[in-house]
Amino acid sequence: MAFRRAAPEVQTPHDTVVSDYRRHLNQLAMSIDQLHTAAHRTRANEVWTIDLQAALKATRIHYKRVEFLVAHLDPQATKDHLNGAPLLALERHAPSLSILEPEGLQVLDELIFSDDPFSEREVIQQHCKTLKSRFKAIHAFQNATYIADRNILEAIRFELVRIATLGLSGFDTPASAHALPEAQAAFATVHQATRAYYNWLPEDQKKLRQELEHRFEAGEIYLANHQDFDTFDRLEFTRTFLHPLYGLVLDLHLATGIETIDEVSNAQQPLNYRNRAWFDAQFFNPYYFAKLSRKDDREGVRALGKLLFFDPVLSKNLQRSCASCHNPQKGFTDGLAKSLAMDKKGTVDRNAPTILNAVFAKRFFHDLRSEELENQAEQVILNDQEFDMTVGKVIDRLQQSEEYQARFRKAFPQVKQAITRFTLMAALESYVLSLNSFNSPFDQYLRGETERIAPEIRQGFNVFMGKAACGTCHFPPTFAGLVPPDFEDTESEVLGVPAQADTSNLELDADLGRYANGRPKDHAHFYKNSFKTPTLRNIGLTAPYMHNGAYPDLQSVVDFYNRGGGAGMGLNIPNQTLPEDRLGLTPAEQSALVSFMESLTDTTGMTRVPAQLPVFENHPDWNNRPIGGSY
Amino acid sequence: MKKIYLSAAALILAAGSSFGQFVFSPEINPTFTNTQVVLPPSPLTYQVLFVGGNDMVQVVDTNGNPDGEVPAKEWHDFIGFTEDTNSSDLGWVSVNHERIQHDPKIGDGGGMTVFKVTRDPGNDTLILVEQTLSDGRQGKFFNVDFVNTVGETGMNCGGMVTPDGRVFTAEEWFRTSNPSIYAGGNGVLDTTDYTIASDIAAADGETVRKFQNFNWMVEIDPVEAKAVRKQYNWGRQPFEGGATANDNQTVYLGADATPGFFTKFVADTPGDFTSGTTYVYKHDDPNKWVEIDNADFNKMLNWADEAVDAGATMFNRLEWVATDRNTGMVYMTETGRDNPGGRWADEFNDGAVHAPHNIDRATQQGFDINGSDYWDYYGRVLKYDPNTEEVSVFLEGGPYYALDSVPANLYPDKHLSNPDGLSVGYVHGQSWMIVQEDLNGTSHGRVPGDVTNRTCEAFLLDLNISNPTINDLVRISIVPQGAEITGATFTPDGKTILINAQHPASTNPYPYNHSLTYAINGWDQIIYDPVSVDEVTDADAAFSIYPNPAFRTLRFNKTTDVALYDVTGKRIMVQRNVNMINVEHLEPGNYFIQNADGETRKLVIL
Repeated sequence: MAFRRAAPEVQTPHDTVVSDYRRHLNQLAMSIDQLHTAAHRTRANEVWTIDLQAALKATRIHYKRVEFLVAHLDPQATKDHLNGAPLLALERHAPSLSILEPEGLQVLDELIFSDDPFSEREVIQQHCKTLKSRFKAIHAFQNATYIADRNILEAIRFELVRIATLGLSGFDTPASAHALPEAQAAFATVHQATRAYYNWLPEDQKKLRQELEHRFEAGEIYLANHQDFDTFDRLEFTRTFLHPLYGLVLDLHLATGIETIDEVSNAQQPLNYRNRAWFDAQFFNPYYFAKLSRKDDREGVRALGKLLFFDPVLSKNLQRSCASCHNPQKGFTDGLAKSLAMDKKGTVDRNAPTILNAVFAKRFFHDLRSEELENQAEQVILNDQEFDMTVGKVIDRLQQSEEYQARFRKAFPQVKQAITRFTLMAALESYVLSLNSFNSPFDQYLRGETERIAPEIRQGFNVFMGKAACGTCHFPPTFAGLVPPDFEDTESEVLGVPAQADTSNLELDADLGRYANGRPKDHAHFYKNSFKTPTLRNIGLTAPYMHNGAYPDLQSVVDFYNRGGGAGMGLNIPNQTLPEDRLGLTPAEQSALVSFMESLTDTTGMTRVPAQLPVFENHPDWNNRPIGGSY
Repeated sequence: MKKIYLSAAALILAAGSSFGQFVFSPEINPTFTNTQVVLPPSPLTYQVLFVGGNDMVQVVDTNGNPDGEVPAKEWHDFIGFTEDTNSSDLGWVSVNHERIQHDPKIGDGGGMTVFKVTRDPGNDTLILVEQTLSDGRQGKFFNVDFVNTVGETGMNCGGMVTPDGRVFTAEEWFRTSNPSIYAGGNGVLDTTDYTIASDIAAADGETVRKFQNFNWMVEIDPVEAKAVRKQYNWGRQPFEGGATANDNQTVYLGADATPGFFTKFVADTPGDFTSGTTYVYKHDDPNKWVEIDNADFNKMLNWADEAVDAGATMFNRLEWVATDRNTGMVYMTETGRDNPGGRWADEFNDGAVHAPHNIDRATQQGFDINGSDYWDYYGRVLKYDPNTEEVSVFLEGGPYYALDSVPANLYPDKHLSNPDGLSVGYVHGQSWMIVQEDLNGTSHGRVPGDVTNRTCEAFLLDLNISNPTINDLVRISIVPQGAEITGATFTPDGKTILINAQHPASTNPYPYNHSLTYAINGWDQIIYDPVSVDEVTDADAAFSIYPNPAFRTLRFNKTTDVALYDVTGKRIMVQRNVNMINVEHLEPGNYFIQNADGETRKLVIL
């Protein structure tokens, strides 16, 4: 492959994109000025409001023309000042716990499209003033900063994911629901930027150029003809345009000879950049999320991890294994509201989550207390309600089996001592990494491998990503709190889950969640009762639901959200992040949501249990231990 | 003839600055996603000395647990070096741990580890020394006992070493309640009131709430690995660092907060810090320093309120403080905070004043310094001149672009954001500053666009340069991704710089997935008194690469774009505008490298 060097053209693709970008930045600056002026103008309520709403809509459209680059090149400034969620946040890297008020276009969207914006005009004016000064700094930097060809093509692909997940879902237009015109602007902008690179395609790639141009043009026409937020067919648009274009722009990137991120950086990235599809198992790079390295993750290691996962020898009473609470037949959960504690004395504190796709997160446990997957296994081993062991005791036991010793030696030929904390955790981690579930009937349809999908699943996805706003927290493709398009953060939410489903005796669950996880930097009041947003993949297998298992089935979960969560049902939860308004879903929409969620099931090849466990020569009594534990 | 491989870019720099000080340039190129420590090339040598969570420290009986050994705490920060003048060993290294955790054996809260090193006369590397302490502990690494001496500490961040090698540790993250130190059972478990026993008269016998026994400067004894005294006479503050003047009598202290105040303590007797006078800096006072009565323990407990009442000068997060023993100048990092206005507006209304350099910044921006629009993204290094008692900007951070700036062709090679760690060391008697970054974020160009790693770098600065800019900084190390670079200090013989990589990402390869202390040796060999460097590289010269075969770093005779191919012709790496690349991660074997002009060279990786 050619190494693309300084190009001979007068106007390079880079020149075209960057000069468009600078022009769009100028237009956005002017638009923000006009918004600021509109907010400060003395006018009658109604005129002022109409004027301001128009100015904000225009500003947001201008923002959408720079979004793909500014959000890619300066994600923090974009999140902090331009288009971050309208929620309290902690100041990054502050010398003490420091809470920041939200700023930017999303806050303005909520304020200006509220029932009575005029009554809040001073607050609105202040936000406009702040936006103006913040943008001045961002503008200056973006105007001057160096942008590589590589960055432009990456930014285009990320924007395609962003449009699907954060744009069309209404994530960043919480009150105006102006998502479709904005998607149109963003889509047209990345089309323009992509087009700039056609000249760099070799002669024999004419077909790729035609395919790209056809998809983009048809997509623009589709958007122009479908502008209703509630009825927009997100599945159709994603499947026909956004998802294929994600692959086609990669083809363009590679064909032009421009380097990709993996040639520039030897650090692990969240995504396998060279993967064409985004609803498939190769989209993510598990070695970014896990401590295990790619070169240590071998077949023998994975098989050993699987044995350990099902072996009750890890628990003090030799009756419990990882599979006790993470049973493959139940989507790697146990079907209980809260798992049984050691020796069946009561229960542990929370519901057992699925292990499928568990690796794809930056924080672990319902309360987000850990940053490392391997820490999760270690805490289970140590917890006196779970395995009630130490890593040292587990190692001592394993060393008493010649078969285990041999298997460890074979799996880790590179280390001197075969059974150590490192090798034990690496084996377990390797097995968990292998539990990838991205091949459900829904994924196959989205990737274009099948042509038929049940109408209620289509309706369910569209409600999920639109009217019901589920997709604004359960982000595709994990349908968890892993935030696209960078996939570098795991979010938690305050839903107001009650202690019990019974609405006659409604009471907030006492579990404080993230607030009480022991991390000084999470000890902020708005994290009270906040829990990790779990994956909805395989949700059809993992009842009961929520961190405390309060809801027995998906219908009751949908009903909970439809009522606006705990606050919507009348509980006093000032920090609830789920809007407390009723969603107003019809019975058909509710049942479609359930059908869609049930279509996310894929446990192919992951449910098989080991045929036998290693023998302990000097402990004949241990050799009868049941595979997977006795309870 | 290694010298001819000095880069063209480096030579331009040499014209007006310090490059003549180097026999061989130790400067490394910027990189933003490295998973290992990035180091200057040979002849400097590199060693990992102390790995948190892995190396075992010796502990005393604590909380009813017998003595023994446990894995060291993590999140290394400050490094203090105490010279051993009584033996041929070099001295003791004290390392702060910023990570707070509940640990009944090692003591809850933050902590410190000490170890001793000697120098291998053969190759000048460091060797860890086995020690037996007078309390019977034996080993290489020792946990500093706080619990049984002066009470626990929180996040042990910066610190101070006196001219005679006494070590003090500082604690940021100001504590305001017992629940905040208890941290859901994962912090400090014993939250009963604490009765102080101290040789500082005003504090002795006072009973305070447990959290109030945190956030004091604490002296430790690195030789016996135990805490000595909390400095109840220097105020309870979110301390980040301090420095002692040559007189061993005057102490300067920085507080990491907005507003952060600059504190001075003058001991009655040199070396005895139990009695003396404590002041806060007020630039617009005729005396410059206002006394806060340290005989009144309540004033020490409520230092910030007292400082505001005194109308003290406010800074935006003061971090480390360092003195240049050759000139007596005091330097400190003001690390900055993105939008500090709301954080000091109340104190301003109550009488505290702004530092003139910050008022100038606000005026230039056209914003109210107390309003939400004022920004301070990059921070700076300040200089305090004890002769004039003035604080001025020594080195302003950046890159800052004004709206009318000429667009850059590349991310600027020289950049400095949010300086934090700071020290001054001496090589052949000349003063060298080490400035270290701890980025507050990745926005506004603190890293190039699309880099999400808060890349932290250490720079060397020749203090003979008057009015330096960031172009005078020489980049000497970059920590693995996820990490903060901190603690950097020269050993007294000028041969070694010790550095900490704090909390690197867990996905880095071992040992770069733990906090670690490393050493770069050989500075006395590559720094010497000014000589001219007269080789000039020719931009038209044929492309050449060096060394070949290569192991760690590959250098070029000119700055160019390069692509690296394996023997099958697959392109595996592209780097733009570089005069060297890191090849450490490559599998040994044959490769081809091509530059922007299409010149190809065969390369062997060992």
